[in-house]
Amino acid sequence: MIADLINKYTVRININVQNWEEAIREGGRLLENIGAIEQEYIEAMIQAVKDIGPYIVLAPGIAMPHANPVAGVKKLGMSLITLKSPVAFGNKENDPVSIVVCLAATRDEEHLQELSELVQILGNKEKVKKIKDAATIQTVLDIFS
Amino acid sequence: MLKIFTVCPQGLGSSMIAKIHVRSVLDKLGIENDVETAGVASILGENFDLIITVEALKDSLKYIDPQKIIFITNFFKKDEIEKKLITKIEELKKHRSEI
Repeated sequence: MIADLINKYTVRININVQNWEEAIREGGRLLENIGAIEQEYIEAMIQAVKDIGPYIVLAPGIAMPHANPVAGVKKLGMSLITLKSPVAFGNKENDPVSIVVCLAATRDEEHLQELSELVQILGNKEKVKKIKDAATIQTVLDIFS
Repeated sequence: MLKIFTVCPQGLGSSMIAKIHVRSVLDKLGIENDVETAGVASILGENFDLIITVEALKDSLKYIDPQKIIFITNFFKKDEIEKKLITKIEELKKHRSEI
């Protein structure tokens, strides 16, 4: 269940960041805090964008940073932050980004169920708008519950 | 029967999301399918009908017939994937008797 991953420990709203790297660090830190990843995984998520490009911006305004599981994933985890001011990742179709969902996945497909639920929610325009505009963490949690 | 790889650099983020959409579209159309996620390196030497991927991998996939590739820009919009997939399947049908 996605509500097991997106919870009061892994959601933060209106975060102030200067650029996309800071956005990934903020989201990554939440995963580190819950013990889903090692610190090095955060740098791996940033490096993946530098190496391959901003392919993690999966839809207008939404990025899903992730890296190879061997880079420091300890268990399945997802975090969600909204940005006070959107930042560009360098993806011309989908910039600027205001919702960042960091994913720590393991090699098997154990996260397929959670990703399906995420797709349902982030594929819904009204829900995406509610998440972007959320003034409290609870508003976001209600959407994922 | 369509053999499809959804491909992204790691084979577990966008490719996994694409797989969810592609399966549901093909199931809805009643087309038998085998959809697998893959990292960009692991499709070498594999047989497939189509590859679904991100624009960022265009250069890495140069060696593959462009007719077999679908690029997706919005992974949370099932319509986009569905539309592109149906167009591609229509093209495929011109070249083979059954899918």
